[in-house]
Amino acid sequence: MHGPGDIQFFTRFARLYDLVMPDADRTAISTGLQKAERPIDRLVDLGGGSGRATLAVKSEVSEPLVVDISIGMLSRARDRGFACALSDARRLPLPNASVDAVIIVDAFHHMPEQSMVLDECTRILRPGGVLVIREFDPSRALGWLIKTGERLFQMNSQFYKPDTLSQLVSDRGLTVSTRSDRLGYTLVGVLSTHN
Amino acid sequence: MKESLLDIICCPIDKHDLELEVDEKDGDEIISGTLTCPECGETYPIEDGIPNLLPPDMRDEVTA
Repeated sequence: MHGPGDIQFFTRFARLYDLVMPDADRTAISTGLQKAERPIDRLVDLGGGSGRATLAVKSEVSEPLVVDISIGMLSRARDRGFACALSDARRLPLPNASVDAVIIVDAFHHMPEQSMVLDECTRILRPGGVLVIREFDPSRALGWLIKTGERLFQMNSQFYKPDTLSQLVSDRGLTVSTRSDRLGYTLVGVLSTHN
Repeated sequence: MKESLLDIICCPIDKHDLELEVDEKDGDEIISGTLTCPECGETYPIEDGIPNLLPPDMRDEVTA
Protein backbone atom coordinates (compact mmCIF):
# COMPACT_ATOMS: atom_id res chain seq x y z
CA MET A 1 0.00 0.00 0.00
CA HIS A 2 1.28 3.41 -0.88
CA GLY A 3 -1.42 5.80 0.33
CA PRO A 4 -3.05 8.43 -1.89
CA GLY A 5 -1.24 8.67 -5.21
CA ASP A 6 1.50 6.15 -4.46
CA ILE A 7 3.28 8.80 -2.38
CA GLN A 8 5.68 6.58 -0.50
CA PHE A 9 7.13 5.24 -3.73
CA PHE A 10 7.89 8.71 -5.04
CA THR A 11 9.27 9.97 -1.75
CA ARG A 12 11.73 7.08 -1.83
CA PHE A 13 12.60 7.18 -5.51
CA ALA A 14 12.51 10.94 -6.21
CA ARG A 15 16.12 11.05 -7.40
CA LEU A 16 15.90 7.99 -9.63
CA TYR A 17 12.68 9.20 -11.18
CA ASP A 18 14.05 12.60 -12.05
CA LEU A 19 15.06 11.80 -15.63
CA VAL A 20 15.24 14.11 -18.60
CA MET A 21 11.92 14.84 -20.28
CA PRO A 22 11.80 13.20 -23.74
CA ASP A 23 11.49 15.68 -26.61
CA ALA A 24 8.25 13.99 -27.69
CA ASP A 25 6.69 14.96 -24.35
CA ARG A 26 8.01 18.50 -24.51
CA THR A 27 6.62 19.04 -28.02
CA ALA A 28 3.27 17.47 -27.13
CA ILE A 29 2.79 19.66 -24.06
CA SER A 30 3.81 22.79 -25.94
CA THR A 31 1.44 22.06 -28.80
CA GLY A 32 -1.36 21.46 -26.30
CA LEU A 33 -0.75 24.76 -24.51
CA GLN A 34 -1.01 26.62 -27.82
CA LYS A 35 -4.66 25.57 -28.06
CA ALA A 36 -5.60 27.84 -25.17
CA GLU A 37 -7.92 30.66 -26.13
CA ARG A 38 -6.20 33.09 -23.81
CA PRO A 39 -2.60 34.03 -22.98
CA ILE A 40 -1.02 31.59 -20.54
CA ASP A 41 0.53 33.35 -17.58
CA ARG A 42 -0.42 31.12 -14.70
CA LEU A 43 0.16 27.40 -15.18
CA VAL A 44 -0.33 24.60 -12.65
CA ASP A 45 1.81 21.48 -13.09
CA LEU A 46 -0.42 19.01 -11.24
CA GLY A 47 1.35 15.94 -9.90
CA GLY A 48 4.37 17.84 -11.19
CA GLY A 49 6.79 16.19 -8.75
CA SER A 50 10.35 17.32 -9.30
CA GLY A 51 9.23 19.96 -11.81
CA ARG A 52 10.55 18.26 -14.93
CA ALA A 53 7.47 19.14 -17.01
CA THR A 54 7.60 22.71 -15.73
CA LEU A 55 11.25 22.83 -16.71
CA ALA A 56 10.22 21.82 -20.24
CA VAL A 57 7.66 24.64 -20.66
CA LYS A 58 8.98 27.37 -18.37
CA SER A 59 10.03 29.62 -21.27
CA GLU A 60 6.37 29.73 -22.38
CA VAL A 61 4.72 30.75 -19.10
CA SER A 62 5.43 33.50 -16.58
CA GLU A 63 3.95 31.98 -13.42
CA PRO A 64 4.31 28.19 -13.16
CA LEU A 65 3.31 26.44 -9.94
CA VAL A 66 4.32 22.84 -9.20
CA VAL A 67 1.71 20.99 -7.14
CA ASP A 68 2.38 17.52 -5.75
CA ILE A 69 1.58 15.30 -2.79
CA SER A 70 5.14 14.00 -2.37
CA ILE A 71 7.46 16.25 -0.35
CA GLY A 72 10.50 14.36 -1.65
CA MET A 73 9.66 15.20 -5.25
CA LEU A 74 8.66 18.78 -4.44
CA SER A 75 12.00 19.46 -2.74
CA ARG A 76 13.59 18.94 -6.14
CA ALA A 77 11.18 21.42 -7.73
CA ARG A 78 11.97 23.93 -4.97
CA ASP A 79 15.71 23.46 -5.56
CA ARG A 80 15.08 24.27 -9.22
CA GLY A 81 13.60 27.58 -8.10
CA PHE A 82 9.98 26.79 -8.94
CA ALA A 83 7.04 27.93 -6.83
CA CYS A 84 5.51 24.83 -5.25
CA ALA A 85 2.68 23.70 -3.00
CA LEU A 86 2.18 20.39 -1.22
CA SER A 87 -1.45 19.62 -2.02
CA ASP A 88 -4.06 17.00 -2.72
CA ALA A 89 -5.29 17.08 -6.33
CA ARG A 90 -8.84 16.44 -5.10
CA ARG A 91 -8.88 19.59 -2.96
CA LEU A 92 -6.62 22.16 -4.56
CA PRO A 93 -5.57 25.31 -2.68
CA LEU A 94 -6.53 27.47 -5.68
CA PRO A 95 -9.59 29.70 -6.23
CA ASN A 96 -12.21 29.17 -8.93
CA ALA A 97 -11.21 30.41 -12.40
CA SER A 98 -7.72 31.41 -11.32
CA VAL A 99 -5.32 29.70 -13.75
CA ASP A 100 -4.79 29.70 -17.52
CA ALA A 101 -3.44 26.16 -17.89
CA VAL A 102 -3.26 22.88 -15.99
CA ILE A 103 -0.83 20.20 -17.12
CA ILE A 104 -0.72 16.62 -15.80
CA VAL A 105 2.26 14.79 -17.26
CA ASP A 106 2.68 11.03 -16.71
CA ALA A 107 0.92 11.48 -13.38
CA PHE A 108 -2.86 11.21 -13.83
CA HIS A 109 -2.84 7.41 -13.52
CA HIS A 110 -1.35 7.70 -10.01
CA MET A 111 -4.13 9.92 -8.68
CA PRO A 112 -6.98 8.43 -6.68
CA GLU A 113 -10.58 9.47 -7.39
CA GLN A 114 -9.73 10.84 -10.80
CA SER A 115 -13.22 12.22 -11.42
CA MET A 116 -12.71 14.58 -8.46
CA VAL A 117 -9.34 15.59 -9.91
CA LEU A 118 -10.98 16.47 -13.25
CA ASP A 119 -13.68 18.46 -11.40
CA GLU A 120 -10.93 20.43 -9.66
CA CYS A 121 -9.07 21.11 -12.92
CA THR A 122 -12.27 22.46 -14.46
CA ARG A 123 -13.02 24.56 -11.40
CA ILE A 124 -9.66 26.35 -11.30
CA LEU A 125 -9.42 27.01 -15.08
CA ARG A 126 -10.33 30.40 -16.45
CA PRO A 127 -12.63 30.48 -19.51
CA GLY A 128 -10.48 29.81 -22.57
CA GLY A 129 -7.92 28.05 -20.39
CA VAL A 130 -6.46 24.68 -21.30
CA LEU A 131 -6.03 21.29 -19.64
CA VAL A 132 -3.21 19.14 -21.05
CA ILE A 133 -2.89 15.51 -19.89
CA ARG A 134 0.02 13.35 -21.05
CA GLU A 135 -0.64 9.68 -20.40
CA PHE A 136 0.48 6.23 -21.39
CA ASP A 137 -2.02 4.30 -23.46
CA PRO A 138 -2.67 0.92 -21.76
CA SER A 139 -3.83 -0.57 -25.08
CA ARG A 140 -0.45 0.07 -26.74
CA ALA A 141 2.80 -1.82 -26.16
CA LEU A 142 4.78 0.71 -24.12
CA GLY A 143 1.75 1.72 -22.08
CA TRP A 144 1.01 -1.91 -21.32
CA LEU A 145 4.62 -2.45 -20.22
CA ILE A 146 4.47 0.53 -17.85
CA LYS A 147 1.10 -0.54 -16.49
CA THR A 148 2.46 -4.02 -15.82
CA GLY A 149 5.69 -2.67 -14.32
CA GLU A 150 3.80 -0.43 -11.93
CA ARG A 151 1.67 -3.37 -10.85
CA LEU A 152 4.87 -5.14 -9.87
CA PHE A 153 5.57 -2.20 -7.55
CA GLN A 154 2.04 -2.62 -6.16
CA MET A 155 1.01 0.83 -7.27
CA ASN A 156 -2.68 1.64 -7.42
CA SER A 157 -2.39 3.06 -10.92
CA GLN A 158 -5.53 3.57 -13.00
CA PHE A 159 -4.88 4.00 -16.72
CA TYR A 160 -7.48 5.20 -19.22
CA LYS A 161 -7.59 4.67 -22.94
CA PRO A 162 -7.73 7.97 -24.86
CA ASP A 163 -11.43 7.62 -25.75
CA THR A 164 -12.51 6.99 -22.17
CA LEU A 165 -10.54 9.91 -20.75
CA SER A 166 -11.80 12.18 -23.57
CA GLN A 167 -15.37 11.38 -22.60
CA LEU A 168 -14.71 12.17 -18.92
CA VAL A 169 -13.16 15.53 -19.79
CA SER A 170 -15.78 16.56 -22.37
CA ASP A 171 -18.51 15.65 -19.84
CA ARG A 172 -17.15 18.59 -17.84
CA GLY A 173 -17.75 21.04 -20.66
CA LEU A 174 -14.31 21.15 -22.23
CA THR A 175 -13.68 20.86 -25.95
CA VAL A 176 -11.38 17.85 -26.26
CA SER A 177 -8.86 16.59 -28.77
CA THR A 178 -6.34 13.78 -28.38
CA ARG A 179 -3.21 12.85 -30.27
CA SER A 180 -1.27 9.59 -29.97
CA ASP A 181 2.44 9.13 -30.47
CA ARG A 182 4.98 6.42 -29.76
CA LEU A 183 5.15 7.24 -26.03
CA GLY A 184 1.45 7.53 -25.35
CA TYR A 185 -1.14 10.20 -25.93
CA THR A 186 -1.86 13.81 -25.18
CA LEU A 187 -5.33 15.01 -24.30
CA VAL A 188 -6.06 18.71 -24.71
CA GLY A 189 -9.25 20.19 -23.27
CA VAL A 190 -10.20 23.84 -23.72
CA LEU A 191 -12.74 25.42 -21.39
CA SER A 192 -15.36 27.39 -23.29
CA THR A 193 -15.12 31.18 -23.07
CA HIS A 194 -18.93 31.29 -22.83
CA ASN A 195 -19.14 29.69 -19.38
CA MET B 1 8.20 30.18 -1.05
CA LYS B 2 7.96 33.80 -2.03
CA GLU B 3 5.34 36.13 -0.57
CA SER B 4 3.89 36.61 -4.07
CA LEU B 5 2.63 33.00 -3.94
CA LEU B 6 -0.13 34.33 -1.66
CA ASP B 7 -1.67 35.93 -4.77
CA ILE B 8 -2.23 32.42 -6.15
CA ILE B 9 -2.90 30.00 -3.30
CA CYS B 10 -5.87 29.85 -0.96
CA CYS B 11 -7.34 27.64 1.76
CA PRO B 12 -7.93 24.16 0.26
CA ILE B 13 -11.13 23.79 2.28
CA ASP B 14 -13.11 27.01 1.77
CA LYS B 15 -10.90 28.73 -0.88
CA HIS B 16 -10.55 31.87 1.27
CA ASP B 17 -7.36 33.98 1.05
CA LEU B 18 -4.64 33.04 3.54
CA GLU B 19 -2.74 35.21 6.03
CA LEU B 20 1.01 34.79 6.36
CA GLU B 21 3.14 34.72 9.48
CA VAL B 22 6.88 34.42 8.82
CA ASP B 23 9.22 32.58 11.21
CA GLU B 24 12.35 32.43 9.07
CA LYS B 25 13.38 34.20 5.88
CA ASP B 26 16.36 33.99 3.53
CA GLY B 27 16.31 37.04 1.26
CA ASP B 28 12.82 37.09 -0.26
CA GLU B 29 12.36 33.34 0.35
CA ILE B 30 10.15 32.37 3.26
CA ILE B 31 11.75 29.26 4.79
CA SER B 32 9.30 28.62 7.61
CA GLY B 33 6.10 30.11 8.90
CA THR B 34 2.37 29.62 9.08
CA LEU B 35 -0.51 30.30 6.74
CA THR B 36 -3.84 30.89 8.44
CA CYS B 37 -7.31 30.94 6.96
CA PRO B 38 -9.23 33.73 8.71
CA GLU B 39 -12.51 32.16 7.53
CA CYS B 40 -12.25 28.63 8.98
CA GLY B 41 -9.32 29.21 11.36
CA GLU B 42 -7.27 26.34 9.92
CA THR B 43 -3.49 26.75 9.86
CA TYR B 44 -1.02 25.43 7.30
CA PRO B 45 2.71 25.16 8.02
CA ILE B 46 5.50 26.35 5.71
CA GLU B 47 8.49 24.03 6.14
CA ASP B 48 11.79 24.06 4.25
CA GLY B 49 10.35 26.71 1.94
CA ILE B 50 7.34 24.63 0.89
CA PRO B 51 3.78 25.44 2.04
CA ASN B 52 1.91 22.35 3.22
CA LEU B 53 -1.60 22.98 1.91
CA LEU B 54 -2.91 19.47 2.44
CA PRO B 55 -6.30 19.40 4.11
CA PRO B 56 -5.63 18.70 7.83
CA ASP B 57 -7.14 15.19 7.69
CA MET B 58 -4.50 14.19 5.14
CA ARG B 59 -1.39 15.55 6.83
CA ASP B 60 -0.68 12.50 8.97
CA GLU B 61 -1.43 10.11 6.17
CA VAL B 62 1.13 11.71 3.85
CA THR B 63 3.94 12.61 6.24
CA ALA B 64 3.79 9.26 8.04
